[in-house]
Amino acid sequence: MFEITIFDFKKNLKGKIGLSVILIGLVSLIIGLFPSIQESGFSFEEYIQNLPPALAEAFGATIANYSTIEGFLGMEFYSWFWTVALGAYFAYKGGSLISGEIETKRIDLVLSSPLTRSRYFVEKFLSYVPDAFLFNIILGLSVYVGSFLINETISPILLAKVHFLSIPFWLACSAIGGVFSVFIDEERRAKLFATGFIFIAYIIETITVQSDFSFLGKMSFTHYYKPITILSTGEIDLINPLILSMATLVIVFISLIAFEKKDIQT
Amino acid sequence: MEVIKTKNLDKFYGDIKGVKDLDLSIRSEEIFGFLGPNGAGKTTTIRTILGFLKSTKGSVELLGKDVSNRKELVKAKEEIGFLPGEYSFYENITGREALDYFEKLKGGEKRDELIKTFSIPLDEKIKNYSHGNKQKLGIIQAFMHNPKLVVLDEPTQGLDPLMQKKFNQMILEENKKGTAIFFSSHILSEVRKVCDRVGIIKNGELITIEDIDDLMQKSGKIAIVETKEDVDRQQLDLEGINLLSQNPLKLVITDGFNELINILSKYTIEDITIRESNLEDVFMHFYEE
Repeated sequence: MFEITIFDFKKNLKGKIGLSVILIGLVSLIIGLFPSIQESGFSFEEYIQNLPPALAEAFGATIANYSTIEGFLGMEFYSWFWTVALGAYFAYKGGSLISGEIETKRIDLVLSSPLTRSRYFVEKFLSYVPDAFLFNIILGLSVYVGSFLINETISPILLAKVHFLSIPFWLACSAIGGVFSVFIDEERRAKLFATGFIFIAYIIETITVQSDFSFLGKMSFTHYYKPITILSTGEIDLINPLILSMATLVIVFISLIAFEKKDIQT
Repeated sequence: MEVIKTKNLDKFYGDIKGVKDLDLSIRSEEIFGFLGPNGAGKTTTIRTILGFLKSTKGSVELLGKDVSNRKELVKAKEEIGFLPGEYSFYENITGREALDYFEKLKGGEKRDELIKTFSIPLDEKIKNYSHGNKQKLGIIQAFMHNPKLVVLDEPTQGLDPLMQKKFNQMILEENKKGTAIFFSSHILSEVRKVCDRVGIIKNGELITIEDIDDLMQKSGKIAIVETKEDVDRQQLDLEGINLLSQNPLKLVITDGFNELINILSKYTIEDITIRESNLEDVFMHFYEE
């Protein structure tokens, strides 16, 4: 059991570490800027007041306090790079889960082994769990150490909450990728649709947030994971990770049914 | 016991016929050649038998297990090796890592023995492998868990003649030890070296199943003779000789070699070629509609 998960996790480890290094660079830059921005006396409150209200709320700007490192990181790093960009990354990876194996004609050799298609899919999908842990550990530590270096302290518990809750969020994004990868044989298209889904849903959430159509925003997974809120208030609504996990299960289940019935044509 | 048994097997892609009404019965002790031109339905048949494609109608049993049942298919696959016509590996891992992976999934009691036969640069990344080395790696993974049945889709593509010979030897040896082989090809001369029986498929339908010796006997040799003078056609109306075309003279010979040579010796022969029948000839002479 888990041979495929372990294999898949190890397979692109270098790439994942490379991405982590880029993110560490980004976090360092943002943390490094914080003291000078604080010193400059720039009024964030004024800046926020000048933002369109919908945008301000979408970014969580209405609740965050930018003069704190938590609020600053929440706005500059967690609400966009951590959530939307990495969410899109997981959807992108998920988009090649099956389609990539079919397109490269690798799937036959593995599926001729004694395992069901469902096990194959689930094991491959589960390889995103250690991926998510890897990013969290590396970036969580970087944020903590980085803040320490500029004489700021972030509560490690708060940080752990934010990071831990990214896991159900990213897995839901991966599941979207996975379902596209089953229904669309062409890897590039499956990835594009999956990534597009995350971005478009996020944009819909952003632009409808204060409108009568705000219910549309609930389609977006980003609606259920708001690091900025957690960082600013320390509060967690446990219903959110639960919704994300349920969504993941449902999407994976649909993928499994479709994959079991699919003609695998390489 | 039958290792593969299909009954009225149909595979359609919408309205397009992949295979139709396929009845195959492959025995555990044989090497079965599955012959057909490109696009005849060989790969579709193999993929349907192995459960990659869902049949439209009919049934498939692999080693006595019903392929349409997920659990039974997994059970059957424990004892099946497969070499697809086209496949690839993860390029960024070494051959050894690839084989480790397959071993974890299905076992590898014969792995070392096979590596000795088909030496490959085990510690080199697969992206640096030649086509022949990749093919060898494919062959090793198909046989490494000592399966009862190995399905090979055009296995000798990309192997040099020396390697082909080694491969044929291995197939014969494995078969002696009790592995049934199902082997698809579009090259008759390749199949005849190793197979006991052949099935011929054309346009998605099985035309015939024959013992290879009978088929070779029936299909005979092809002679192409160029003579200075015109050869009298009536003289060639002999038992075992079939005239295909006059200019140049093309004949299928299954018997009566002496008579033919006697006749031809009366003419000035400018060029003569005698070769074994290939699949195209067999189709042309026996199965052309």
